[in-house]
Amino acid sequence: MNRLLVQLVLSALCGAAGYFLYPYLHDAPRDAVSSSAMSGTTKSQVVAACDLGPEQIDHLASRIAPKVVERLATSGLNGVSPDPKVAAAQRDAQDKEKANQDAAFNKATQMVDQLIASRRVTPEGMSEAAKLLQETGQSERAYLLHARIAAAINRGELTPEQAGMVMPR
Amino acid sequence: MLRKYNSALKAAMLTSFLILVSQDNVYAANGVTDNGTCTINTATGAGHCEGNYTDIRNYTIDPSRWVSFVKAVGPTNYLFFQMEINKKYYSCSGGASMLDAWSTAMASTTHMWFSVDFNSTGQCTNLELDVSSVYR
Repeated sequence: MNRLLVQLVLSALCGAAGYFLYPYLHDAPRDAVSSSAMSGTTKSQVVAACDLGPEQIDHLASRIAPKVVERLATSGLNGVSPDPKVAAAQRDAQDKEKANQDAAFNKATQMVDQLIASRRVTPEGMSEAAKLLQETGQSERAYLLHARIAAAINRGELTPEQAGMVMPR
Repeated sequence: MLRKYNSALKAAMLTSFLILVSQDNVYAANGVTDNGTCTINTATGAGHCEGNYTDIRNYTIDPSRWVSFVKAVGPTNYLFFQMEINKKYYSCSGGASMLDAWSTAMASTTHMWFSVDFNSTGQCTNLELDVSSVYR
């Protein structure tokens, strides 16, 4: 019994040792090469140097670098000075999108206000207004259109029937 | 004479005791009641509604009172609360942040008490639910 236990413990120790020593044992020949020919290079640099020529690396860098700069410029990371051109372009795009959304929201609320003023709120009219929000990626604001209906009813400017609300009887 | 009043006093005490016991039984059987109330600030349009489904449904003094939580999906995409008390209708529209609680309110028909606050622009600003055995 004790013998079996000792064997189990030794097996476990050998397994653990193998697990931890594996990287060292298998990297040993490569480290030997890098220490003689490419001292100071990392493992990934070794792989790149082996598989790609200088032109290919330049080609890849020219494609990747602008994306990296763009990401860094807009990352907001501390210590990274944003690229003025990239940041400005992105800011313009955001402003334009925001303006489009605001215009669509204003138009949608005007449509709802017209429905309230006419005292005839129809599902079609509400859907049309909501569609404007959906098309500009702001469906989450659709509830604000119905809030206008609710407020008009609460103020007594509109009856539930005129608002097209279901009245269980 | 005294004996006569004594009997009457005993009878009154016994009656009071029976009434108390029977009231207690009613309370124990039916739990806490809330037939529904809504209040609104007429100046601002902000207000509050509360109640529980069963008591609202069974309130015979104002049988027209009702409450509902509506959820619409698709382009219209909204949550809507409506309640009618004493022939007056109250409503508000809820945002996506209320979706989970709204779904709970829609799934519950008994043992649930609700409370809804709304602001002057018709937005539901607070939804509070209490699911408990004390509610019918």
